[in-house]
Amino acid sequence: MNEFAATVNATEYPPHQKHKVIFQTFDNLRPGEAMLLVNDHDPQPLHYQFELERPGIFSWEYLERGPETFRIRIGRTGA
Amino acid sequence: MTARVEWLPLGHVTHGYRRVFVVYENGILRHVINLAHMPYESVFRVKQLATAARVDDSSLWWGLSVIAKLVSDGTLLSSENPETADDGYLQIRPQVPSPDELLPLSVYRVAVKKNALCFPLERTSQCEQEGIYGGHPTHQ
Repeated sequence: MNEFAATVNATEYPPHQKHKVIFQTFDNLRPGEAMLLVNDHDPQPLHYQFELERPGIFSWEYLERGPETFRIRIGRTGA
Repeated sequence: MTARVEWLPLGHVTHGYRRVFVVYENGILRHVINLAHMPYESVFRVKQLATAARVDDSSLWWGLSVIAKLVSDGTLLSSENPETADDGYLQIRPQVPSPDELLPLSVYRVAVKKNALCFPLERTSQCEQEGIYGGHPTHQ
């Protein structure tokens, strides 16, 4: 069974759609599920956006932290 | 003389928010002010300044604090500042505030409830003399 319910490779989307796609994907997760985010830079601003817009219902774990590829496990911890 | 500050829905810019405020003086629309950019990280830091209290929209708290100060200290008054834009439109990149530059949470919450921040301008100088923020608005 796949560890991730969904994967978003942010490098495949134009800048104005990246965060929208990521949040849509996260919102479709069920509690306990996780998504994999792949990016070519550290998405720290996105992390802060999650803190502001999805407080208390997500987890954030770096699986790979650069220098060229960043892979983050974003889990849904609450409804 | 009274000031009334209203706001538009939250907008996004790259890696941050933008907030647009509309300022009325005595019921007359005087200014439209665009605050951008407000980085997510900075907005999160502002949220943390609320410490034990919970603020659902810290970009609004921050933005209202900026606008209230601009209004109450006379920066936006064309009579005091002839350089103010003729069309009333301003774009400002706000600096991350210190705790004492933010509106009291009680004032912020009343504004959210009313969908507007209202305060008398005449009391500004008195408030400044009393050391209250630099003209913290009080609600009518």
